Amino acid sequence: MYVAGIDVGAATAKCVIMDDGEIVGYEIIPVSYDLSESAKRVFNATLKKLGISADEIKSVVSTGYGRYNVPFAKKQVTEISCHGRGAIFLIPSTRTIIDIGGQDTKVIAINERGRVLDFVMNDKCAAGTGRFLEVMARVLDVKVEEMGEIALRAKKKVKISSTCTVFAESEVINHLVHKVPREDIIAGLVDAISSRVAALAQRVTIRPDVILTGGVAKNEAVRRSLSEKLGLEILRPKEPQIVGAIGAALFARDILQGKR
Amino acid sequence: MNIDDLLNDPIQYVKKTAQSCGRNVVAFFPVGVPIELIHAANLQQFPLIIMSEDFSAADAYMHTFACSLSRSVLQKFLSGDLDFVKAFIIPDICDSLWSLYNIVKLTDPNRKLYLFHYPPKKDDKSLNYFKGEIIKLWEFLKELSLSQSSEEILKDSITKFNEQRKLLRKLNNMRKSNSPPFSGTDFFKLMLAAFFMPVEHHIDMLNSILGNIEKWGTKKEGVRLLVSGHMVENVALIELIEESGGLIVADDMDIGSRHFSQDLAVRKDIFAGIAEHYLMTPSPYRHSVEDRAEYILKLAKEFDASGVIFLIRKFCDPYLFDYPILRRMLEEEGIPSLLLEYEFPFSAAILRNRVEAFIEMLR
Repeated sequence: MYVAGIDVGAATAKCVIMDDGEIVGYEIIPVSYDLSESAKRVFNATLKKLGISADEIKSVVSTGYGRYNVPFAKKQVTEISCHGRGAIFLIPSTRTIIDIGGQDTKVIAINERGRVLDFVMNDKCAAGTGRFLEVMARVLDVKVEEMGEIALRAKKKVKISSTCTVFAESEVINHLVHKVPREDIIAGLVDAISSRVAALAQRVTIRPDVILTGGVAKNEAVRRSLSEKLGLEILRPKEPQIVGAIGAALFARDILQGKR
Repeated sequence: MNIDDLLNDPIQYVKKTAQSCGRNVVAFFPVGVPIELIHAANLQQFPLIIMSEDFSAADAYMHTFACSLSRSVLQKFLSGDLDFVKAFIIPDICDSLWSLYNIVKLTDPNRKLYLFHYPPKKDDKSLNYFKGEIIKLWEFLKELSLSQSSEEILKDSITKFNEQRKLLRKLNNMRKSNSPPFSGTDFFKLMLAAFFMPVEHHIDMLNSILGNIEKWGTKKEGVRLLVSGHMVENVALIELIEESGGLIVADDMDIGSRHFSQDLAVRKDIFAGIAEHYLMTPSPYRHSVEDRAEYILKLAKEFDASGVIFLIRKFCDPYLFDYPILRRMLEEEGIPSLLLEYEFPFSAAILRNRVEAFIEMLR
């Protein structure tokens, strides 16, 4: 029996469809200003990919910043709880999740069943989130998904001292004026983002295994830098952006089974 | 006037009450300023809470990392809305209030201001010093009064506030029940009223509520929580927590249990009694963090709270400095906590997300 989890985030909407506890398909799309429309669109795109109809989905749970904009969901669960469930499903040894999304960064401690034991979120500004890298990618005229690879080619890294994204952007422009190689600037940005995330992560008790999720997890340079700063190996699921949606689909399955 | 009207327009409420009672108005920050002294001097108390979400005039004088409470008070002061206030009592508990004191002095040199000093410790020397400060404040207030005052009147005021404390404790103890007869939102509204209303009126209100408790307030179900912080000046914050599945059953706040947890003992040396009462109540302005942790843990156990929410205004140094240590101490005792930093106007979506996640974690 099919169930779906829909994660409407600040930058992307994700849908995961599961059948009998197995992932059968997923989609990731950028969100528009209309979150309900984005939720519907990602749901329909996943259904189309699998060649099944909406009637065949017996339970839907929504999560993410736009979780209350999914009218066809039976229940809303926060992305914190969904990440816990999703992470354990993908990597059962997970005890700490570092999720770097478009708008916020969170660190979640979980138990062996994926239940949340503690969590912290960034609450100051965009520094240390995916948006930080997006802004810098535009200034540096690179694609955000290429930044990780470019950073790994750097000979040295520049120091980005501003915490504020807007001020950090000015610093980047200043480095460009002084003809600093682009890869060295990107390596500096990676270092800045991972320093902020590492500081946040140390507010909770970090237990291995640690996994990195969210769009920024696709940036290999961030993963390596974070791993170095925390002094432990950081794992990454094959598709780090759908962990919350998987958790939501598992909660949707619980509803069918009469749990929670 | 009912409580909602009072909270919608506190300035109007204070003005009207002062006028009808024929009193001068004294504004103070509710951080453990002895309210009994204001009452005994026959003055109308005006607790300063957030009254403006526009800080444009204040920001010309004050840095943006000052808390929204001090910026809001400055905004109202500069706009002339507080011209009716005869004097301000500004406690020296943080840099934001020091800054506020200096700006007000600079912009209106004739305004009566009283900088109220607290000792940082609670030993005998500090107690003696604090007693001296209380006597000085008493002399200052008596000069503002339109009628004669005396230590006998002060004793009567203390008795009245102790009566209010007793009734608040009675009501508060009902929250220990598995299904309290009222919500945290109801209780915080009543606590704000306790600081605004003449104590005699508030006592009448409490007696009438206690006499008909089933008909008062809204019964709510939810995960039992304790909130810790300065005060809840906007009950929408508590409503947000309770709409997200929480039920506030206890608090560690100035406009809350710190006000009523103990009676103020009337000693032979009346000022020594007042000093002792206000110095011994654990708070972040004048105490070790261990005292606060002990107080919070005791409350959490007594009221069977599953978790603690630290409700802290952004840039509120005294609370934010204590927070990491308190969090560790609670963690060691197996009590989960959440830091909810807010600013006015607050973003409900961001706060709700954290509260919902915390409640899902506790369920």
